[in-house]
Amino acid sequence: MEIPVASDTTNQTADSHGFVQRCMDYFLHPTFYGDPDALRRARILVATIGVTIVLFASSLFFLTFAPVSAISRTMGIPTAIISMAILILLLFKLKRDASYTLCSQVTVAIMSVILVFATLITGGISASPIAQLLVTLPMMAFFFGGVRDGNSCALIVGLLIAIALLLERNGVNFPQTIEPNDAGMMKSLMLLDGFCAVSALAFVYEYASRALRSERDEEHQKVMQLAQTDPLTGLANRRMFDDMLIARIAQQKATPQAPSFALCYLDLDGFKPINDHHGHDVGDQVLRAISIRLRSSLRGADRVGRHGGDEFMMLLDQLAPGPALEATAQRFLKIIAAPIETSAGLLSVEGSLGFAFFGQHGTDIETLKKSADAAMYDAKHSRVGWRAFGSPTPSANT
Amino acid sequence: MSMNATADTRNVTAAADYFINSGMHDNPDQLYRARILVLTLFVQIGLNVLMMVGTLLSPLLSESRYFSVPIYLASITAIVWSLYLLKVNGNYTICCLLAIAQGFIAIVGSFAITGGPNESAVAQLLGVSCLMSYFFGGLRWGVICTGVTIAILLTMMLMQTAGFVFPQMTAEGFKPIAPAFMLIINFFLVTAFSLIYELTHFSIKKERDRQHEKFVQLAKIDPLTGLANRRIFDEMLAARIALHSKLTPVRSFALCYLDLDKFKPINDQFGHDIGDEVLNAVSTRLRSALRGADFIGRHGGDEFMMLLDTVHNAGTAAALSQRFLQLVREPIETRAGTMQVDGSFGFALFPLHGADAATLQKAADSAMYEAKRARSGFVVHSPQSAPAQSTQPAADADSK
Repeated sequence: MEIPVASDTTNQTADSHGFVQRCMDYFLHPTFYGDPDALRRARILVATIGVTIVLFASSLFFLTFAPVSAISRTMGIPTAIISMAILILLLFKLKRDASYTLCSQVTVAIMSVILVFATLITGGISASPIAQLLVTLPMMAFFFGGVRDGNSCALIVGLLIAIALLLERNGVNFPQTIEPNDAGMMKSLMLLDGFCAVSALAFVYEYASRALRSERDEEHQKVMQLAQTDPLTGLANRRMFDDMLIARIAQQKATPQAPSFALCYLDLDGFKPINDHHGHDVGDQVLRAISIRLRSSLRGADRVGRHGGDEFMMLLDQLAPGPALEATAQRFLKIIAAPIETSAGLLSVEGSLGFAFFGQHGTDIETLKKSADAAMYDAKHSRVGWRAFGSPTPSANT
Repeated sequence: MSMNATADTRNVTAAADYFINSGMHDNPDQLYRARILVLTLFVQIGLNVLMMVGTLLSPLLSESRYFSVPIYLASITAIVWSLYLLKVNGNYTICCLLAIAQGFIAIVGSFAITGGPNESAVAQLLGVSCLMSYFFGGLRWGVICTGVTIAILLTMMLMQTAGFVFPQMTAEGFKPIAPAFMLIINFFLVTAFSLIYELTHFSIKKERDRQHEKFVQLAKIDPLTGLANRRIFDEMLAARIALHSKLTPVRSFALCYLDLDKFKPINDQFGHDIGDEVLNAVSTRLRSALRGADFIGRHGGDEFMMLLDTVHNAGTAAALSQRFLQLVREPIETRAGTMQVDGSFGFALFPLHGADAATLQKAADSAMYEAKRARSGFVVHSPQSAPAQSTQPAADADSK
């Protein structure tokens, strides 16, 4: 059953309980696979029905072979057989019609009828050991049917308990089919039973909640990713880059002695003709190639972002004016100018770089960006490849 | 009813928040659980106080008050202490562990002295501490609590089978009603927890769907202008072409490309923020000028594209582009003063200039460049080159 929707939400279960999963999935109508939440609940419903059938089968065995009173035998065996038959029919109904609501409600109803009835023939609310299982009914109803079904079930079962208690108070004696000798043991067993049922439902609830939470976090992650990156190149978008720049400036202001950084603006030359001549698809290929090259040439704390169009910006850590700047600029110009393989053949663009140094050319984001921008235009107009802000003469690289 | 419920919830939340350390407000999941923990502890304190008062006042319970009142007092102390820890240290784990352990010890202790698993009415409350540990501590704690409880239960059952008699200290008068009393409390607590679980579930699911919706939206639109992005526009265009191709006779429409002129200088001179304001203003105007089945997208940069359902020939294209040009040229108020841009429109007609999306887009693109080069405002594509179009642009130039 390789259905993609199912695999991401329940892959843990799929890995560890492949066989159980396949057995459960056998009874699921294909429409359940469209909605992971419905699928999850439907699987748990199938599992619950399965466990209940097994419980009925074992109690059938117990009633047939263990020394129990004749009355429990004559009442218990038909009840168990009928309930099992209905539950098995429900499973096939779920498979054929995908009628989840009906199946879940009938399951809870069957259990309610049996538990209430069993309570009443074992001494009523006060004396019956089975009464303590009644609490599992609203829990199941909440889980399978949501708030409304849960509330209705809690109300109905609560009313039944109240009526039974009132009857007891007014002297009605409920029949007691449990032998006095077995009463203590029965009470302990039912205690264990009830506890296991509550614990299992709580486990299922917590498990489903955890799955939902991780799905929610995944979606949130995807939103953040989309909001922060440029979809074409996968680089940080302008907003994200600004955030990084602001954070870096704050860090620099906190530790003024640490090596400073430079902001670099890059504008591609010769890109617009490619876009116009070969179409946007080829232009996109060029932009992607340039982004990959820029990204791979960054060092540790360097950052690169795309401004939109053919403009990029880089935050270059620990860069200072001088020979290092010259080398860095030349390196970038070289990797930008290298020919690019596209679907329209080999193309090449050139870049104009403008550098601005934190501290020297601005201590706030606005000034720094303006300086880098101005340096970049300077480089573009004088066709010198790169300029640092305010450098009086064209650099030696011309 | 739900409205009242939300108002009530808000008041209750405010009361709970008093006990929650401000450091915990960063993690919404933990904050949510901490709030419910505080409320649960309130309920626990209330229950303990009620039981204590009941024990002290009721003649039915007079025999058991010497051991039950200290248990209630110890429980209340432990709960108040854990609330204090939550407020001062913001230590959710310890607070929650303490609360669960307190409940667990109180239940196990009192059920060991009320006749053990075979007789005690208190025993059924064990499910509640298990539910609490799942809810507040997560899967691991829940499983641990379940394991410990089952181990204790089995040990006690074995002890009973071996002949050990647990003390039965339930007051004689209370004995007959004890099972029903505990059943009701248990029923109430388990139902309340199931309701909380279901509501939690629902709210996480809603939040997940909201995030998903946001993701889908973000993937479709250009974040700056809110228009369809290029990918979605292309999809919509392809869908429209498929739809119209099926009709007989094929229904025509126009694809229009717009490139802003004089936009780049604004961006360069006043910065990208002002440029963004201009783009936003232009896209709002264009959007308001569209009719029913038209749609508009942004190509990135200063390029837009529109699908115009009512344009079937060069004549209507000419008339409409006059209106568009007027809208684009109208002065734009920005923070840096009044700006003005101009536009070049290129039209291509479906199916005349292209029966598939790629051809149609190329045609609109080349018409747009033609308009830009000729500074004519707009050009309708023609298979021949520029001269064939000179009549309309000339008319446009005259009208200026």
